[in-house]
Amino acid sequence: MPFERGGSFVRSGLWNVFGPFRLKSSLQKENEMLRRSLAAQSLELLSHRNTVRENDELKAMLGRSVGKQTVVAAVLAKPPVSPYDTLLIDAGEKQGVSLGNDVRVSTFRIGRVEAVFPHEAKVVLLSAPGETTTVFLGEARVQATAVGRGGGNFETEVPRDVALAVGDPVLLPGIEHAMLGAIDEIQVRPTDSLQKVLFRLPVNFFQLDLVEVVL
Amino acid sequence: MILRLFLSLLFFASILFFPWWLSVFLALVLSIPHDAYEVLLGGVLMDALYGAPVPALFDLPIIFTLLFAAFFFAGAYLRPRLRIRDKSV
Repeated sequence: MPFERGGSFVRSGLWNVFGPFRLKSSLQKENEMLRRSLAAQSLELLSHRNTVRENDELKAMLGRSVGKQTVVAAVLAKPPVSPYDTLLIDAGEKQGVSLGNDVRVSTFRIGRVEAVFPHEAKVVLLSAPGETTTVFLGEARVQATAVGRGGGNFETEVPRDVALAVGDPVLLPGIEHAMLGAIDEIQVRPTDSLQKVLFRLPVNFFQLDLVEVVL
Repeated sequence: MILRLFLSLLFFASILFFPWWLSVFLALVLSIPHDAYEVLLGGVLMDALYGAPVPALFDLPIIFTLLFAAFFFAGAYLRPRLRIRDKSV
């Protein structure tokens, strides 16, 4: 079949000639779609910020102001230099940091101060191996104890009858309802009475430069 | 001797600036041919700098002290059996 071969040759030739243009048009479409998605997300974020502000104002009106004093600290050492899921930060006793202070990035609580030195402090991340944190899972706010698995990962177990889904929020107890993350994976076997819920902090520790210490 | 000095300096620099697994690797490299006391010191330093309570070790942050001590004693045990001569002595 010389004709078939010829046809194939012509098709591949045309593909080589017009391929880049086709690719360019699909890239343009994808770019356009991403722009629209980004615009929608920006609007949603704006709406979320308004809701948060309104929430804070309402709490303040009811006498429960959640505005807390914080101090910004630079991260001196972080994983993987630090092997224990700990951070060394450049704020210590002289800057008002004390033992047990919460440490956060944006609105996410990521750890607590474990040791304080005059100008530095050691922070244990909530995800440090064996570290336990009380959390509320999903819209139903099911209480559970999350155990740190290192590298920003957590694991917890709840009865299998509890309705949870991937993407459900994981919240910390308290009036702020601070978010710890979102459910990444649910593992359940037919023979188990419990379901294992896996989630991770939405903060990349490997790129962390600044944190806030809540005084 | 110069190689040991270089590796020891690199070992201490790795504790402060490089990923922890590099420190572990260098501790192992230093422990096999020498009685590398600096490795023990490095373990204590790592635990003091970065340590957090470890539930499995009664909340003591001593993983690297124990690990590097194990390297040290394993080196001392294996050296005569592997016919490695400590050139630094």
